[in-house]
Amino acid sequence: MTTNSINTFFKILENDNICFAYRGSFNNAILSMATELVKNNIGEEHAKLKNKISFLMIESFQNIAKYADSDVLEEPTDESDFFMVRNIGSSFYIVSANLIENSKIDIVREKLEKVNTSDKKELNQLYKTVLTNKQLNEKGGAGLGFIEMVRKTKGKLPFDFVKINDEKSIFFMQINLTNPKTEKEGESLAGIDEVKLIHKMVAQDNILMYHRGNFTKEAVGPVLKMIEDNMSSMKFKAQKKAFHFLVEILQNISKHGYEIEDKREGLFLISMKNGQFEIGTGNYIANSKVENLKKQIEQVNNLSNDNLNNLYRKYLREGRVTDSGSAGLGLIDLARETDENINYEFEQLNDKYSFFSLTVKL
Amino acid sequence: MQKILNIAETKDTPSVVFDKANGKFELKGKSLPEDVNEYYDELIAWLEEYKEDPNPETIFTFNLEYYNSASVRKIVDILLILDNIHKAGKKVLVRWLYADYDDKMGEVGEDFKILVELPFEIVSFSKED
Repeated sequence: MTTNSINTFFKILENDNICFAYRGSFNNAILSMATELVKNNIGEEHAKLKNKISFLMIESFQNIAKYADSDVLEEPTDESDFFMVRNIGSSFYIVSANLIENSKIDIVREKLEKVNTSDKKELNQLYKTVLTNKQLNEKGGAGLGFIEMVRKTKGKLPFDFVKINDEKSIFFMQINLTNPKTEKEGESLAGIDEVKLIHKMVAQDNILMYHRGNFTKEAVGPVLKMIEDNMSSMKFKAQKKAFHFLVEILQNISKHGYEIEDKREGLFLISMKNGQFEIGTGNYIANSKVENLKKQIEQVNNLSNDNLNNLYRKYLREGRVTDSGSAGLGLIDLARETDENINYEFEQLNDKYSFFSLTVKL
Repeated sequence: MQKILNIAETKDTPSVVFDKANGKFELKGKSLPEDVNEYYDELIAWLEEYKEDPNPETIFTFNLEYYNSASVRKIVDILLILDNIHKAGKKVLVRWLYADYDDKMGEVGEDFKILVELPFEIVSFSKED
């Protein structure tokens, strides 16, 4: 992961009010984390959609066949399933990407085309038929899951297959759910091609999960809680370390991030490769704070571990006198925990604020 | 006798038992609040009052799983109060407990130990639950 990839991610997801994605082995802990996260972050104007979104997320999740037995985070592989939920404007998107044997593509395609071309009456009929006739379902009639998705959203299910070799393809599917109360004229839907692009980037950077949203104090708490619950076996040093990093970094964004229209927009990503976690964040920061932050990062990057320990203790002693917020203590603490440098970049966007991206390997 | 301070653990703040009569002083759990003052003011006020009339011996236990950097300052504040009690001639022992798989919490214990001139035990325990 590079600061450049954070920049690109942030730009692709620029219009997302919330976006959460996970790639790896799926289990119930991930599912409850994702549904809670989205529920907690849905704007008031979409409150009525909450239950529907949860329902569709669960339905889509369960469509991704491979359920892992353990609740421990595993390193994603090239064959990992991918799940994403996002909100842009009045629409919510629930996206899945998983491997499918090439021999099964035709059956799935047929099912999807059938639900996508049926009107309401036909769908209800199909629903009844599938419920009462198991045989038809097994032979390739539309699956109940797809029918339910279309009935609940009153829309179509965009999908695509991307061949990866002679045996397997990636099956992309997207559920669109639009809030009719807030929908503006001419509001267009995000397409599945964007999903394919995001999926490619996620695979390239070995990303396990990312979250883009509002990082105010109220929003960060539940996010951390859920990640912590999910990293349930915190005995693993690397996971605990990753969590510790996230706490500091997210609380920092919530404190120092530049506020636009009452929101502190931010993005964080966690990647995992060869057992090593990497965390990346991106957020806006006031131009007036850039120089100081740059200086502080350079300072900790250039210090040896012994010197970092000394500096940390110095801050502990003197902090009580100055009492000026966190005085770089968090940053020193992060630097103490990793032998790698903190990579960062500032991109000035206008005369008020810049985009600040950071990556660090644990 | 000073009233018992008893606060339950939450998702981002530790449980507290400050019980002068039974000689129990403990902080246990996670300390990650965004607003550290909101949480720690009460604890520190209690300890400031205790400092005026402490027991002949105080054993204070920290059993923390996580902390954020903002909490660090407040832990320092607590240690400094204990330091003052010690300097005034009372017996004080700080016990810093950490799970044996978690070097990080052990190391930060060392940071605190160096900071004050108090009897300070750093004790690891095995946690298999």
